[in-house]
Amino acid sequence: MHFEVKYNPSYALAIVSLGANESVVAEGGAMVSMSSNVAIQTSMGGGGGAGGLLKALKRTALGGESFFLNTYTSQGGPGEVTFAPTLPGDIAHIQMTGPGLVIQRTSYLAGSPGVAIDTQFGGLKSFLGGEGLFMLKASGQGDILVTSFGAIHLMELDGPYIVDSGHIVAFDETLSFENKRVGSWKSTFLSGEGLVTLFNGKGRLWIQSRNPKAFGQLVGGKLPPRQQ
Amino acid sequence: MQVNIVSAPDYAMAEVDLAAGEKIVVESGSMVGMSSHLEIETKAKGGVLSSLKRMVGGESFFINTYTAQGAPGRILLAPAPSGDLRHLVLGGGDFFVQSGSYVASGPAVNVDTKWGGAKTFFGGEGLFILKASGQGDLIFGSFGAIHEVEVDGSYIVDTGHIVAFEPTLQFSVRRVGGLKSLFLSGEGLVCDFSGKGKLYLQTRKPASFVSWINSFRPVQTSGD
Repeated sequence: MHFEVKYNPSYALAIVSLGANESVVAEGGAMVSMSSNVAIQTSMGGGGGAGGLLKALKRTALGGESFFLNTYTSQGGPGEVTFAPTLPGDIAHIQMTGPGLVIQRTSYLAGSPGVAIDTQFGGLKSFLGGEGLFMLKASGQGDILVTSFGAIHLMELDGPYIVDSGHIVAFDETLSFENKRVGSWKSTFLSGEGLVTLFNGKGRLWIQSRNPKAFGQLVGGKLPPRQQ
Repeated sequence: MQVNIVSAPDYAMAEVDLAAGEKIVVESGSMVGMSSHLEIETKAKGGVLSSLKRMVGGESFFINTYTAQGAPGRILLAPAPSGDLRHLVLGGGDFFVQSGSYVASGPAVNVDTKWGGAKTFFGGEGLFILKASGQGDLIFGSFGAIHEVEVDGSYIVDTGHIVAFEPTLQFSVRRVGGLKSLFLSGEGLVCDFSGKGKLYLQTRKPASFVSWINSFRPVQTSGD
């Protein structure tokens, strides 16, 4: 399997070349194009398993977005699949060799089948209050593609660091994280910074240079109300 | 006509230089700026029936023709979405452009709605393809970057990512996968291409972006 990312940073496209009978897993809806010998199979998310459809639907209701995983398999010969996220932005290719990776759910794009995606990770704790962010946990060996809104900025952390929760793309599991208010209650409500995440330890952190929710509210908030 | 594309790929704009007396046909709303002596003529091109077809095809009802009257002139063109532009010179054969990607064409290029057959329509969704034929310049745009694929055999594309393709490719639209994939894959409609020819894809899908924005609209509860 070979991953290539083109047209970055603004409108990145991932081109995945598969050997015969090789598979790649991707978020439902991410496929742009593929060879005609590639078969699609839909599942509820690797690792999740139990509860299947109901849990997946529950997640949809909670998060306002689907999280279904499709497995693309090149049958009988080599093939390619291309993937792109919904928003303008970049794609980072991360090779997983040891520690797990925590991924903000809408930043997950695709990965090799040897990487397990746990959608139940952390339970409610991973729901970053107010920001509506769910975290996935990727573990195992292989490749992962994560996407950003705007550019992706990689940081090597060694010690405490604070990030606006809406700018998180992914981070090494070796980092501890805790959600907190910024400053006093006054700052929480008036600074416009809302909820931040305090990281600590040693590991990599990928952040996005734009906050999807901020942009969504900027544009969506100016549109007439929709019927429920 | 000389076409120069600047600020590609993120925010491409076409600088089109017209000789004295030369014309260019431009999609409504795509003119950014122009020499002050250029004359604009607006019409419902191709008669009422043809215009209605254009409207159904997601194109505007009216189309503008700009003429560099008496002296050379320049017009700047840009599509609505952020993304790239391509300029091709047609040599007499056909060329297919997804209707939302069409930006401009030379006056001798005939742009017509090509019904991909009833199969391109599934419950309100559809793929609207324009057929450009004749000789002259053609300018089309994308949401995101333009990714070119040299198809030789068969290839599958999410319909929302199609920009344009050569006439040597046959195409048909279908729902992806089986029943389960239909409800869960989020992939919707795909287009099967076959033959040998060039395919132009856009790396972002307008419909997905719009539905993402839509999720941020305020919600009106039924009691209001």
